Amino acid sequence: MTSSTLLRRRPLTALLAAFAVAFFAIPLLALLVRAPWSSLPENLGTAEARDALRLSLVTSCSAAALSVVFGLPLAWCLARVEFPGRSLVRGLVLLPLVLPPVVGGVALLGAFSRQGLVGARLYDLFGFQLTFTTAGAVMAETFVALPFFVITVEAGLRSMDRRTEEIAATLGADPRTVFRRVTLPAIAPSLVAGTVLAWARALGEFGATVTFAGNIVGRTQTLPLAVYLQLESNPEVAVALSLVLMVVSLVVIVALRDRWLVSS
Amino acid sequence: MSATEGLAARLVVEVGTLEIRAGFEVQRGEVLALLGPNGAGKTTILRAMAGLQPITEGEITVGGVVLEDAEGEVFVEPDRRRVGLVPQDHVLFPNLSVLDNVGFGLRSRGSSTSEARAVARGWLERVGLAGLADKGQRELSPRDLSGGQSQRVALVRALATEPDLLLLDEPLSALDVSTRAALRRELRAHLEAFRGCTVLVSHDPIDALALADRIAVIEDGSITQEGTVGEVSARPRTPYVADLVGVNLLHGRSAGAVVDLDDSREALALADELDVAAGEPVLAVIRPRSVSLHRQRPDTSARNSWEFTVAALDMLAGHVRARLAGPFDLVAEVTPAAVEDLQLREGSPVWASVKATEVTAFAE
Repeated sequence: MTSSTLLRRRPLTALLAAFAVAFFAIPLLALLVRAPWSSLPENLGTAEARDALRLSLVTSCSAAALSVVFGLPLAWCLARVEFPGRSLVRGLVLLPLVLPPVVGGVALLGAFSRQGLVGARLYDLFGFQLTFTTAGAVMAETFVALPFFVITVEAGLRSMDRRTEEIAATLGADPRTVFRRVTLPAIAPSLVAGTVLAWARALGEFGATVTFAGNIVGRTQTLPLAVYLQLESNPEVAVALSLVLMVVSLVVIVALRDRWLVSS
Repeated sequence: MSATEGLAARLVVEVGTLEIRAGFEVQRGEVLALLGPNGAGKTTILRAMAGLQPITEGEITVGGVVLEDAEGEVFVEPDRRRVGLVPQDHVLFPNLSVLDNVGFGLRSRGSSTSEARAVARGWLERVGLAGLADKGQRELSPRDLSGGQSQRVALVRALATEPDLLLLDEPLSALDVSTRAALRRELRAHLEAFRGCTVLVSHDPIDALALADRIAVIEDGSITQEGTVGEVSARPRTPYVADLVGVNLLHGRSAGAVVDLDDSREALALADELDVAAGEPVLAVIRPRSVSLHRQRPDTSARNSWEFTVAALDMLAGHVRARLAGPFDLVAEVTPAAVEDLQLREGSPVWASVKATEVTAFAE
């Protein structure tokens, strides 16, 4: 259907769709219009902004790395191994996707705070606590980012031609060689997409981080937390930081466009 | 037959609700064709021998070494079995160059990259693809290959590791007719040179007749008949086997669009010129159903007609197989009504004709 037939034959559909587009476009436009372009460098140069930028870079990259380290074996098990309770495990992994992040933060507190199920033992044994530390922020971000990596990579593993792995095995390749020379190259696009998605999700994480790790400048105050806090005291800094996050999101979408925007 | 030299398999495999039972032996240098309709479990048997599908009962040994024993709980992993598997649609590694596809098995078994590539180049040369593999600066990728070329690469990828057991899963069925004929000839030459055991799976009797020494026919998950190509085609035991391989095999020599038959002075006219040099041995296949019988010398366009005597009439599930003796032996399949009509009895004279288009001939 061409756009002119759409307007002629389905005017209501066209109108509602246009509202939806405006709903997304207007706030983003507002952000651009209200952005203090001239004072952008000095706003981003403030101590709070620099701390938040640096911290977010460190924590989101760490969370993405952890997602790969633990998520790749998990995705492989979910895609390749038939074990009892597999769908249960998959449901558990996917839960953080729909769980409100604040609830995730509360759950992490229950497990890893100084009084938590595991956290109390950790503190007794090593005198080590996760809450209110950068490690805690990384943990909260990994909690919400990992599912994105796992579902993307599991889908990649399931859609690849498994027979290439079988042929490789008959040619004498041990499981590790099969994975390195056949599986990894085949799922490379999913691997990249999963990592970028997990990283972007970790970068934007707010609820679980603020609940579990708190809001300490330089230690746990990541970009989204800084945006929220600065909105009261220094709105120009908040908008400047928001712009940074928006640009990153745009870059991610453009980078993954072949995956999402074309295949429908 | 000694089980220590080649492959001896006796196995039960379950796939979903289908239970497949098979037992067979293949000597070194021998080619066994597992012939059967689609869904009969042929591919599953190959997968079991490669270690990709566990067997629930039985034992598989190659050269006296037990690869799998369901009762004794022996299971040799696929990568330690020394098998070569050629699937129907090649399944090349898309991320590797053609050269590295062929060298993959050698690399996996410990050869250096340069060694593996040198050997792979030699194998590609044998299938006429060496020039392609070295074309230009960029390495040739599987994407650049035609179907026939891909299948050749899949074949030499399996052969390059010098396996004890070569498993061919419908290796020609994904190809178009002309490529299939050419590749069948090449495959035959490779199989003659191959010293291990070969199991070929096919639903096309021509593949089995042209490539195999022995045939095992699988129906509904079990082997219904096994024997040499000549035995099975001459004495099919079930209607399916009769339909599939109960064909007339005539040996002869190429002479353009004609086959000079070995056992008689007769010549068999073909529809097209043979692409086999004159005087070279040729195998001609005529389906019994394509043979028509007449009481008098037929006045038809069929150039192939001869006078025979009925040697025997076998009833087989609604058809009659008339075995004819004459300038050479021929089997015709006719309806019981036709037998009445032509008043066929053992010993009665009859004319048989075959259209040139109904004769399939290929290099032997």
